[in-house]
Amino acid sequence: MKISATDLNKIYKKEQALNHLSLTLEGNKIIGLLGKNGAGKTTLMRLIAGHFQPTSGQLEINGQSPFNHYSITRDVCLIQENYNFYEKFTIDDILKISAVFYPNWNASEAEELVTLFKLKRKRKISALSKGMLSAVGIIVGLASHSPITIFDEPYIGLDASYRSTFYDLLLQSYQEDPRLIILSTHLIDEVSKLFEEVAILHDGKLLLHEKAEDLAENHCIVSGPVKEVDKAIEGKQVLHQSTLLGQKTAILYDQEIDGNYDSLTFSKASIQELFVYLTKEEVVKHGDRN
Amino acid sequence: MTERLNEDQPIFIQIAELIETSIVEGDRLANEQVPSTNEFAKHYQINPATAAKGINLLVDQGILFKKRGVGMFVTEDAKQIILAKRQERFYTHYVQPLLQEAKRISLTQEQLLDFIKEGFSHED
Amino acid sequence: MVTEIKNSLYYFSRYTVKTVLTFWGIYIGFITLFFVLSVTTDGTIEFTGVNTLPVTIFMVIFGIMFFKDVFPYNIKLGISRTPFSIAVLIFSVILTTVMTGIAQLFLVFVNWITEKFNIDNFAFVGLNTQFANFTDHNTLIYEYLVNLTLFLLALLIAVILFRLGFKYGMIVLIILPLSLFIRSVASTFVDWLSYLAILHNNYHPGFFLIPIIGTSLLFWFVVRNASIVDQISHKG
Repeated sequence: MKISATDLNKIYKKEQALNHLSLTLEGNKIIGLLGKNGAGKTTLMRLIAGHFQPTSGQLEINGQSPFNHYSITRDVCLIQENYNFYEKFTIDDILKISAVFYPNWNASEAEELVTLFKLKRKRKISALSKGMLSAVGIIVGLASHSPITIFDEPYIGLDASYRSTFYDLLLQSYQEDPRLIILSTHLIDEVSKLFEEVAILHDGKLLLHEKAEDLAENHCIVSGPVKEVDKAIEGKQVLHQSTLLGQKTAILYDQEIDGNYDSLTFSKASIQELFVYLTKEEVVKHGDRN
Repeated sequence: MTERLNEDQPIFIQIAELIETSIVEGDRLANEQVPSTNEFAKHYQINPATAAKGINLLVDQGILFKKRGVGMFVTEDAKQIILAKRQERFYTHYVQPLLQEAKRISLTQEQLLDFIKEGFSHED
Repeated sequence: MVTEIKNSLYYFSRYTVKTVLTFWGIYIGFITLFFVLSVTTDGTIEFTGVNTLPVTIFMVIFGIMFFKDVFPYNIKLGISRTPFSIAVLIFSVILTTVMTGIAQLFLVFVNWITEKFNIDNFAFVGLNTQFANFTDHNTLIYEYLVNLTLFLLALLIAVILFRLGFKYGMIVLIILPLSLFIRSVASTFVDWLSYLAILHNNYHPGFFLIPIIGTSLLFWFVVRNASIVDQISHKG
């Protein structure tokens, strides 16, 4: 499956949720879609699922707009934070409906997961706690085996232990049936190891789209005495720098340090740290280079 | 191989080093099988492609070889290759920081050498 | 297209069955209660039940609830909007048939019992007993057409509110009743309505096709490119 957005715009009332976004996501990969609140992640995911039309620009899945095209939308399963299911249905209703609507539905997998998350099938959606509701979303998302499966903050209310279970399940399900899985979350530290690619949205635009490993390799944290660090980073684009007790730390992205510096140490930041430095307000200018 | 992954290095490099260490320490001998991509993915909760990249790194260096349909195995020369590689970078990775800290806290060359000698004698 | 319509209809049936059963449960319970009361009070109290009205009211309320409860979830499950609209039309016909049919059966059943046991202080009437003496037209078909038209009209109101939000939706919806204050519009409207009034000379059941097709087309027109964000609750 190939999702491609070209010059995509979405304006709600007066708010510009997506701003000339161009992005291509393809292949059977687990892709992390990151961004601050209001960066446009949810809007993009809902456009992919055909919930509404873009204001302008193009969004295509395998060359076809998902909006009102069943041949595309039947292969997309989007699990959102809220409102995935009609409240008065029971879990049982939801499972039966999912079995009808999702062409690749795996009923036995769904059954196992219901047991795993200790859910009662006769319970109404409106009677579920947040965590249980998230569990139902996760079950439907995984068991749908949709060629494009999207999770948008799927685990509100789930504790750390169940979240870890979700990561195990996601990996296992992905290995048995590789498909394009897009995962959007604020808990970057927890999930960054699951990603093969990472795309970061900022102010409705694409800030960065890289393989997770390249992202890890293409940056470095330099630290050492202020003078030495300053010399090393002179003329380079610096994501973030701070000085304390005569020691300076600077984070470079997409920049090489040439020359030999005995007194400097080089290390790596986590995706979470990079995300924060890339999208924090004071570095917005760096993001606008695209 | 239950060591935890950290944030200081790319994960695929850590996976490669975990395998290397197990070979150097004799946990995995020549022609023995190493865990599959999926086993690494599951154990460390990491993307299988990341694990595969770590394993492929070792294939490229002649440390592992692939048996079609079976899995990844340790080559005859694996241990030698790893030892050579790690000895080569021993100075920059371990000796340099050691010297740096020694200078910082005013240890003399003699004191440092004594420490090293002492360390070796404890090993015996 | 066929798969989509089939799937949508399946979803509708899951949504509807419990509600319809609850309605008939309450309804039959009430009638039975009054029935028992009238029998046990030994003729001192008289009861008259009208069978048509509750079903008609149900059709209107259910029509308004139905759209917002079903549309967003069907789209989320991948259904396109045109097949959804067709499924809604098919569903309307089926639902009206079932509701009118059950109402009729129930009426026949209750009247059979009152006759059998000679209960004369309990009367249960429907359109057919009311109007049958004044018209040659089939009252059952009339009841059916009224229910269907009102259900579709309720759906149309629901979709307009869903799309435009409460403020703008109300403005659009209020234009028709307001325009009735203009004398000429009002008299034309009454003229048109006469074609749908069973006791009027102008009446013919075929005229119901006009509002039925009209509301269906308008419904489709509003839905065909609709976003699934509810402009009233702003729920996604």
